[in-house]
Amino acid sequence: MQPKEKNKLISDEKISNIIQNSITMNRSLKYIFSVALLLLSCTIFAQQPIIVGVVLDQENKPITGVSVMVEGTRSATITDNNGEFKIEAKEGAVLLFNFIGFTTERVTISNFNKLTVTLQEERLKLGEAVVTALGITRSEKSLGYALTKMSSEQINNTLPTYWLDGLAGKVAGLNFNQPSGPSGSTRVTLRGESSLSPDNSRTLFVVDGVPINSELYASGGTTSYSTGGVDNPIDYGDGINDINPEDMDNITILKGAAATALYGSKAAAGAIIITTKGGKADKGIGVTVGTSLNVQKASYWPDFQNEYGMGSPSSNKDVYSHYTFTDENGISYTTSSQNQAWGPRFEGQMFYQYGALQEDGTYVATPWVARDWYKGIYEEGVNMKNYIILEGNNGKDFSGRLSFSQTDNKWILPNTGDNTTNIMISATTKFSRFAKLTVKSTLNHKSSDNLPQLGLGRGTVPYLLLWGSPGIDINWYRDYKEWVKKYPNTARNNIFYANSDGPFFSLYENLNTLDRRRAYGVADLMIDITPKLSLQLRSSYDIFNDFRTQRKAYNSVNYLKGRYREQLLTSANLNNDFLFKYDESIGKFKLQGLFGGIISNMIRNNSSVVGTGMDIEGQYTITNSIAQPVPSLFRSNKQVNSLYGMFEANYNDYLFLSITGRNDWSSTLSEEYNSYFYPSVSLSAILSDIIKMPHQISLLKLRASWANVGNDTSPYVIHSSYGASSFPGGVLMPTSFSNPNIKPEMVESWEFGVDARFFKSRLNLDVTYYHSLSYNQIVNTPVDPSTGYQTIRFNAGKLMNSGWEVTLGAIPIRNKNLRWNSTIVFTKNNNKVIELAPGVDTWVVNSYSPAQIEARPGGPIYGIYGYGFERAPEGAYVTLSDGSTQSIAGEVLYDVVTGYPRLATSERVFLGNVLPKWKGGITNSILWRGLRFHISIDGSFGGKAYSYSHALLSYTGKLKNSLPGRYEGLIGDGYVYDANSDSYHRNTTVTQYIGGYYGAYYQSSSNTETNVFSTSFIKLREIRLEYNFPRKLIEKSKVLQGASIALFGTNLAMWTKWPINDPEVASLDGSTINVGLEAGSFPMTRSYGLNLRLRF
Amino acid sequence: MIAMKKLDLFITTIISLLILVAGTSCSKFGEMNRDPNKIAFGEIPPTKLLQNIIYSGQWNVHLRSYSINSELMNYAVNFSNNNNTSAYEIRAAEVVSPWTQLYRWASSAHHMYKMGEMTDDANSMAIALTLKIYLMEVLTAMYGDIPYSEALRWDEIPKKPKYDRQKEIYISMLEELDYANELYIPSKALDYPQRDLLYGGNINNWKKFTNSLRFRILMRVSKSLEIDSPTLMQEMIDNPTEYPMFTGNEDAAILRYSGISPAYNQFGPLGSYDAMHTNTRAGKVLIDLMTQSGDPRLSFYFSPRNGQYLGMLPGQDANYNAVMVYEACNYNTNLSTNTSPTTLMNYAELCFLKSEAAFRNFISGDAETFYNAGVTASIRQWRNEPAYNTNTFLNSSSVKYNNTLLRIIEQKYISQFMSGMEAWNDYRRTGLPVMPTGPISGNFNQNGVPTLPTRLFYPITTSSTNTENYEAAVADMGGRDDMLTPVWFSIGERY
Repeated sequence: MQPKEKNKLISDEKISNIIQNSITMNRSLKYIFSVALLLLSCTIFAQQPIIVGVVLDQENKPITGVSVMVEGTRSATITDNNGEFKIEAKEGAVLLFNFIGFTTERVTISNFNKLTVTLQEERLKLGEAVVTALGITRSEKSLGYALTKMSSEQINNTLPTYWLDGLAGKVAGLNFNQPSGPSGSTRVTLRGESSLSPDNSRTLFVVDGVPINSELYASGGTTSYSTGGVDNPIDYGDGINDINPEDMDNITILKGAAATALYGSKAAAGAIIITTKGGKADKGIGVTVGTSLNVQKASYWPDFQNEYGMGSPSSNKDVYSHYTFTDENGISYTTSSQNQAWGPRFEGQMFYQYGALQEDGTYVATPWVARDWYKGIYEEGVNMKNYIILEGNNGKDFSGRLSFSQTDNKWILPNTGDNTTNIMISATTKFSRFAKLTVKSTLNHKSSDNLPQLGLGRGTVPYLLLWGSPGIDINWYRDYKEWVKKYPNTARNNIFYANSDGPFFSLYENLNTLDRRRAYGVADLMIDITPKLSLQLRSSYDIFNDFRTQRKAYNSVNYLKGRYREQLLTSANLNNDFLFKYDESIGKFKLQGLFGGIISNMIRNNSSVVGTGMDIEGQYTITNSIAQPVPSLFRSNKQVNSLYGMFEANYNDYLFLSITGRNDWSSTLSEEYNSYFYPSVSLSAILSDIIKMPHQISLLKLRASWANVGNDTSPYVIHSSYGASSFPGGVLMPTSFSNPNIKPEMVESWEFGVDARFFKSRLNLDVTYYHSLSYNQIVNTPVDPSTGYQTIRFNAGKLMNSGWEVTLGAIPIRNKNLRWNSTIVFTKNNNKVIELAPGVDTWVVNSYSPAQIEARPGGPIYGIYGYGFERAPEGAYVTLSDGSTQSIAGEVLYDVVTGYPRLATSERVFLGNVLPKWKGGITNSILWRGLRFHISIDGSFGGKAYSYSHALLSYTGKLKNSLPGRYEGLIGDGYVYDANSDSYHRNTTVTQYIGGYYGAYYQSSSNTETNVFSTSFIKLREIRLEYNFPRKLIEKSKVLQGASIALFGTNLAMWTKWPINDPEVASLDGSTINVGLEAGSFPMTRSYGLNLRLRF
Repeated sequence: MIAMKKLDLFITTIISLLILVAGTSCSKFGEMNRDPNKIAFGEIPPTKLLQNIIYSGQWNVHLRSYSINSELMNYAVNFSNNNNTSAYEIRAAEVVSPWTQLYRWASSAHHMYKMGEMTDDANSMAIALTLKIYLMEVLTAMYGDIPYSEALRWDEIPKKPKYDRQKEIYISMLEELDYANELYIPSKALDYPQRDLLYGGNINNWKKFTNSLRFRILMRVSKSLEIDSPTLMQEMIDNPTEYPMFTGNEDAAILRYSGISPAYNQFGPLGSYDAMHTNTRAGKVLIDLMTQSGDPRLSFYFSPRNGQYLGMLPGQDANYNAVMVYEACNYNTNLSTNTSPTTLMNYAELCFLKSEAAFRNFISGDAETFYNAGVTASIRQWRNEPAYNTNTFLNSSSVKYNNTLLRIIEQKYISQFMSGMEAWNDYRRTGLPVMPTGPISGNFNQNGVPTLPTRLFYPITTSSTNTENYEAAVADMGGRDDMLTPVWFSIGERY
C-alpha cells in the first residue's frame, strides 16, 4: 500500500504513515529504522519547553523505540532504552505515540510534568500487505493459501556466496539442489516434484514482474557420469544468482497452485517473487556502502584410509616399485595399478617411488608414507563483495535509487571463479495527477576466466583425484609442462594415467570462459482513472548474451592436437501486460475486480562452433582449426498470450472469497489445444474476528483453496521435421513421432491451512496441508519400432504430491534488553506415481549404470533402482549344530569358491526414494541491546542417493571400509548355497584375493545396493553475530546514520551418514540439474564471513 | 489548473498508448511454432534420405552379420562373459537392436518411396523400394512373422500394427520388387547422383540389384510349394533384358567407403565398433574348410597366429577358450579399416544361387559352370589380382564341383563371409554346412539336444508396446516365442 497523498507538504502524519506502512520490515529492526527516519526529518525548532516522559506497556514495562511526535510539526523523537523521551512542545500541543503492535496514543500537553503514557497492545491484525502473483498487492488476511515472505534483512544478513543458500531451512516446502561448483546454479522446487521431467518441476523466479530466465544451457557435455567422456558439463550459472540481493526489498514464496494460478503455465511449480527496492520514501539523499568477505574452505571429506599405499591386490603386498626394479636377490618388481590402494602398509620403509628420480636417471629409495593425494588440491575460496547504494527523494514527485556492486569470487579449485558487476537503477515519478511511472533496470556483467568441468570424466579434476592413491603427493602433478615435454606426441599430461587429464593441466590449460551481459527491468505505469478504477500498464524485459569458450590444449585426453569451441547464447524474455483494478464497497462488503492480459515472448538463440585440432599450438581461434569447423545452430521463439481476471469479495474484513481465472494461448501447442483455462478458488476466514475467542488467542485464521494450473511444452515439438544428417545435403527421418494432439500438462491441487497466534502473538502457528495431482504429463513413450518410430510424445501419467507444512514461531523472551525469536519450520512430502502411460511400467528419469532413477507406478516419483546382493529366498534355513534350524531368508549369499558375495544382476530392485520424507529447520535470533545473535540449524530426513564416487573409492581400497582382511583375508558375513545337497551353510571361505572381495562388494559397475546411502542430515547452517553501533556513537560522527558489522559462519557442523561430500547432492547433466546420483562431486565447504555496512 | 489537468491526461494517454503498442506488435501466432532450424516434414527431394538409408541401413545388417550370423555359423567365436551367441544363448538385449534399427531404416526407405511418389521420381521410388525390401527381408528371415502390411505408416499417428504371416510378407516383397523393376527409367538420371553411395546414380546397376535380390528371395522361399519359385526363376533367367542381374563383381551391391567422415566403415578407427574384439577368434568350421583346400582368401579373412590358422569350436567351456585365445587366429585387420568395404549382396552369391537352382533343376543351365563362376567371383572380390589363376584351386579335391548340394553350399558359405545373414538363412533351409555344437551349447529342443536357433525371439520393444498383436502372432505360430520354432521359409515340400 502506498501512503495516501494529500495536498500538504510532508507532515508528521506522513511520517507516522511511513512508519506504519513500513511494517514490511522486520519488526526487530524498527528501532534502527525509526532512528534513521527521524534523524532525517526532525528539525529542532528554537527554544520551546521540553516535555519529559516515559512510555510503558500494559505490564508497566518501558517500551524502547516508540516514536514520539508533535502533531502538526516536524518535531519528533523516540524513546530510549528506559522508555524515556524528551521533546520540545508547547502547551496544548498534541503528542502522538506510535509503535508497531500497539495502538497509537494521542496526548494533549496540559502541563509540563513528567508524562507517563501507557500504550495498549493492539489486537493483532493481519494487515500486512504482501505481493502476490503478477505483482498484485493484497492483504495477508485475505489470502486463502500459504505463502512465505522474507525481508531484505533476512536475505542480506548472512550473504553466502549465493544468496539463495540463505533461504535453506527457513521456508517450509522449499527445496534446493545444486551441482557443486563456483557458479552455484540452483534447481529450486516447491512442494515436491510435479512433473516427470525434472526441468518442468522448477520454480519460476520473478523480479518486479519480470519472469527471469533461470534455465541452464548445455555447453557440449551432456552427463556428469560419462567416465569415458572428456566433454563434461560446465555450470555457467543460472540467472538467479545474477540478481544482487542488496537490491531486494522482499521475497514472496508462492508455493501452491492457487497462489500461482494467475501466473499461468510458467509457475505451475510455484513461484518466487522478488520485489526490488525503490528510492527513498522521504525527502533527502542517502548513501549506503558495504562490504562483505566470505572465505570458504573444503571441509567435509570421505572417510579415507591412510594406512596402505598404492598397488594392485594381486601384486606383492610387501614391496612397491614405481618402475621395474630388481632387488639383491635378483627378483624384479613392477607395481601396477597405481590407481588402487592395496599396496604395502605405510611404515616408513624405503621404496622406489615417483618423485625420486635423480639427475643421472636412477631412482633412490624414499620413505613410504601417506601424502596429500586428494585434499591437497583444494585452496581457500574467497568471495569479496563491495557495494554502494545511493537513494533519494525530492520530497514531491520523484524518488530514485542507484546501486552498484562488484563481486570477486575465487573458488576452492585453483584458477577457477568468476566476477560479477551489478548496476541497478530505479526511479519513480508521479508525473501527473493520475499517473505514476516506475522504471527499474538492472545491468549485470558476469565473467570468468575459467570454470571447472563437473562430474566424473577424463577431463575433470575429481576423476583423477578419485583414481589417485594415498601415497601420491598432489604436487607431483603440478609440473605438467615438463611432463608433456617427455611425451610430445601422446595425449598424456600427468604422471600416472594416460587416460585422464592431470588436475593442474586441466585447471590451467583447458579453460572454460564466460562473458555474460544481462539486462532486465520494467517500466510500470499506474493510472488512477477514477478513485475506484485504476489501470496498470507494464513492459518488462530480461535479455542476456552469453559468450563462452572451451579450450582443450595440446596433449589433452582425446584431443592430442587440442580443440576449441565457441558458443554464443542469446535469450530474451519480453512481457507486456495491462491490468484494470476496480474497487467497490457495498455496506459491509468490499469488492475488488481485476482484469488483465499479457503477451509474453521467449526468444532463444544458441549457436556454437567447434574446431577440432589446433594447427598452431596455443592459438585458440576457429580459423586455427585443422578439421573443418562444425557449427551447431539453434533458435526458437515462443509466445504465450493470456487474459486473466480475479474477483475478491471481503465481508466485514473477516471473510474473504477470491476467484481467479486465466486463459493461456501458447504458440507451442496445436490450434486445437493451444487455448487452456485454469481457475482457482480460495477462501479465508478470520475466525477470531467472527467469534469471540479467549484472550489467549490473538488470531485464528482458516484458509482453503483449490486450483488447476496448466503447463505447455517447448517450441517445435508438435510438428515433425527432419533431423540433421552428417552426410552433406542429407536429412534423417525423426525417430520420435511429433504428436500434434498433445495437451498442456495439468496440476490440480487443493490446500487447507490454519494460522493461529497466541499470547499476544508471542506464539504463532501456521499449518498447511496440501494435495496435488499432476496429470496429462507430456512424455515420450516407446512405441513398437515397426510403426516406423521409436517413441511418441503424448499425455499420460499421474503423479501425486501431498504433505504438511508447519511453521511455529515463538518469542520466548521479550523485555527491555532482550528479545529472543525462535522459528521452527517443518515440511513433510509424500509423493507417488499413480500411473504412467498404458503399457509403460517404468520411466527412467536419469541413469548411470548400475543405478537408475525411475518412476514406477505405485512407487515414488524419483526411486533408485539397481542391482543388489543375491539373498537367500523365503523358506531358506540352516541346520545348527544342535540340530535345530534357523531361517536365513534375506541373508546375503556368498560364492563357495571365491568367498565373494554373489550379485543378482538380472533385475533392478527398488533401493530407496531420492526425495526426503521430511525436512525441518530451527532458527533462533537473540537481540541484546545492539548485539544480535542468530543461529539456524536444518535437516532433511528419509532421502537416499547413489554415490558412484563411493563405489570407486571403496573398491579401489581408499576408504576405511576396505581395511579389514588386507593381509589375512576375511570371511564374508553370510551363507553359501550347495546345489548338490540343496541346502544352505554358513560361509566359511576365506577370500584370498581381497581386492576381488571388495570389488564384488562395492564394484561400481554391478553393485548398486552397497553404494546407496541415506542423505539424511542435520546441518548447523549458519551462526551470525551482528553489532549495530549505538545511536550516540553514530551521532557523534556527524555524517553517519547507521553502521553495522556482522560476523558469520555457514555449514559449521554436519551430522550425516552420507559418505561423500555434501548430502544435498545433485549433478548437472547437459542443462538439467538431476538428483539422486552422485559422481565426482566437489567437497562441501565451510565458510566464514564478515559484513560491514555504513549508512550516510 | 484545468490546463494542467489536461496536460497530465495527455501525457498519461501518450505513455499508455506507447506501452500498449510495444506490447501488441508481435509476429503471427500460428506461424511461430514452425521450427526454423529444421526442414519441415513433407515434400523433400527423395534422395535427401538416400545416403543414410544405404549407409546406416546396411551397417545394421553388417553389424548383425558380425554379431549373430558369424557366431551361429562358426565364422568366428566371441567368448566374452556376456556373449554366448555361439553357444546359442542369445541375450535379450541382442535382439532389440536389429528390430529397432532395421525398422528404422526401412521406415526411411518407405518414406523416400512416398516422397518419390509425390515428386514423380520413379527411379527414387524403385531404389527406395529395393532398399526397404533388402532390410525387411533380413528382418522377417530373422524373426519369422513380423508387422509388414500395417507397419511403417509414417504419415499418421502410430497405431499398433498387426503381424503378418511370413508367407504373405514374401509374396508381397516379390511383387514389390517386380514393381520396382518396372519403375526404373535408366535413361533418366538420378538427381544428386553423389547421394547414391552404392552406385553413384547408375540406374542400370540398381535394376540389377533389384532383380538379384528378387532371385535371392525366390531361392529363399523355394522350399515351399506355395510360391512357384522354379517358374519365376526360369522366367528371370530367360529374360535378361527385362530382368537384368549382376554380371560381375563390378556391379554387385558392395558398399565402398571414402574413409573420410562421415563415410567410413564403423569397424575402422573412426568408428565406435571393435571387430577385433580381444575375445573374438576365427571359427573352426570355416578355418578347416579353407585350410584343407589352401583357400587363397584365407589370409584376407584372417591373420595367422603363431604362423598358423586355427579356429575355435563353438559352445566350449572356459578352459578350452582360455587355451584357444592364444592359438586361434583373429580377423584380418584389413576388415576393419576406415575404407574396408561391406556387402549387401555379392556377385558370388548370385552365381551360387543359380548353381543351386540348376542343381535342383529349377532353371536350365549347368550347375558346375555357375558354381565355378561363384568361386572365381568370390576370389576375385577379395584378391583383386586379374593375373591370379583360379583353375588350380577349382580343381583341388575339396573344391572341385562334385554334383552335391553340400559342395555348393560349402563354397557359398565361404563366399558369404561377412555378408549379411545368408549362411544362417541357407542353413535353416538346407541344414548345410553341418554345424558342431559343444558342451555348453544351449537352446535345447524337446529331445534335449542343443539346436542352432531356427529364429530369434521377439524383442521386448515389440512385446511390451504392441502386446495384443504380439500375443496373436505367437499364438499363430504355435504358442511359443522361442528359437526352436521353424520359420515358414525353412519348411516345405519341394525338397
